[in-house]
Amino acid sequence: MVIVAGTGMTAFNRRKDGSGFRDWAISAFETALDRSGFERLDIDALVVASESDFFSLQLNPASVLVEDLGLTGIAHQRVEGGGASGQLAVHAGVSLIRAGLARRVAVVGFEASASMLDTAAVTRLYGYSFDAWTDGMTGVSATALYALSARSFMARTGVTSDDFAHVVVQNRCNACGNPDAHLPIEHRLEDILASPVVSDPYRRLDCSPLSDGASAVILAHPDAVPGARRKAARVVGIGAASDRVRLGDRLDPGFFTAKRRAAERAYTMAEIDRPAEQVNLAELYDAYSGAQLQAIEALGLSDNFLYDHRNGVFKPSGRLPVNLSGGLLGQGAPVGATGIAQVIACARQIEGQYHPKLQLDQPPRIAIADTHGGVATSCAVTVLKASAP
Amino acid sequence: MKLQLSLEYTLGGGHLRPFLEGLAKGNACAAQCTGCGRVTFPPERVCITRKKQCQAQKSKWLPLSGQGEIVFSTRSMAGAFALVQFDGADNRAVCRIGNPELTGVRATLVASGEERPAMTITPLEEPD
Ligand SMILES: [Zn+2]
Repeated sequence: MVIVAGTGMTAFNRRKDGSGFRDWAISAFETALDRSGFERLDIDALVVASESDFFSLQLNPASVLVEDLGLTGIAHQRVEGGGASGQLAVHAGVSLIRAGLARRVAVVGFEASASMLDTAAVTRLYGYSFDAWTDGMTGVSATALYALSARSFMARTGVTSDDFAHVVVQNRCNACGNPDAHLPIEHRLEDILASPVVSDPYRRLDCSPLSDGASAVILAHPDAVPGARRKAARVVGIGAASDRVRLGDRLDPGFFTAKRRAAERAYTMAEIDRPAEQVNLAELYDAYSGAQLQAIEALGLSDNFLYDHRNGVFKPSGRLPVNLSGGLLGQGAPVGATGIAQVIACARQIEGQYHPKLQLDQPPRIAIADTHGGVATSCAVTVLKASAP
Repeated sequence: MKLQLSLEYTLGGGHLRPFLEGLAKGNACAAQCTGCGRVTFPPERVCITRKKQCQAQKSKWLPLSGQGEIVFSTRSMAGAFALVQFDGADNRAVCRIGNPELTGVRATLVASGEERPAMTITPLEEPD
């Protein structure tokens, strides 16, 4: 068990102020360090999450950030697992502490997905984030692959485009209470269904945005935390898993098998045997609207996810609020920062310190953060829990 | 600051060479596991059935007809794509639909050229 001693993030959006990822990383880190009560000298390892040097142009970004953050001398590494990079970096930090290799670890994620390259270039690069030698050579886009997965999911479960549209409306509505969110928008259902088709069944408003931003958490061994922060939220379970990289090699391209496995591993570590009843809050990887429902299914968060989705179970007032932050659809998606931001949302909710408009009256006792790379090829799930009263 | 990069990669086809050379000419070159007989197009490097007799890199090349069935498809701004079940294959393939204006469930692999060998299909018009 590891304590989330401090958390910090920048707003997620498209920067137009001439700032760069190094500025954002410093800002997120300083907030997290300040909240943790630690000094710089207390930090003994840095884990950096970033998906692609193509976006930032900086190879080995951890080497410049360790200096920018005033941490020169300590161990540093960069973790990358596509969209799961941020969550896997948290797992790396937890692992360092559990292995006894470090006592206080700074985990900093960033991505300059929006402002440094034009959208067409980023979209093209993402076409090679699957099996570049086979699927990638066809010129298929990430959206088209998610669309094929969604087609299979819809055929098996009876989920409709309307169900997808409700996810978008809810997540962007949640984002309206989040001052850090990229797309706080009060959509009407018909807005989603009337937006241009990107790759059917997905329309433009079903897709999460490319964002700039950074996020940071300070993780610590319970014995290495000052008294005031010993009651902070803790990471009690981590789990990761992999699926076949090519959709065509999967028995059911619409089911997120690796997500199911990653969750089972995290639940086992956290001693959760009835997730649908025990989990009180979930931050899920809604890169596309349908992926949120695919995640709820795979994570075992409901015995009948479609019925529950249509009956408001995952709304802020429901039994299991999902993506109160707005998720990727609403809060935004600077890839390396995304998974860390999910952990931040969970930790702050547990502590009753989230954005006032979104803070649950009854803070969750158990929250999960779920992230993936590829079409749920590289999956990572983290379970956070309130400390005992 | 503005910076431009122009990158030209030389990609080694490696193990996939017979498969890629087939795509360039429009031939479906599948891999068959010598342990269990599983046929994959695109080829699997290691047989996924994980049976005892299925060992890594023990497969032979097997020509398929190149015809198959579109299982799911999507029309996108970047073209049309499909998940295709090729006749004789035990897995499925993500393919570009070369002539998206054509309809039909049956489709056939077409030559994509040596410059960029890619799984590309054209739908076969349904007979009346
Ligand atoms: Zn075999």
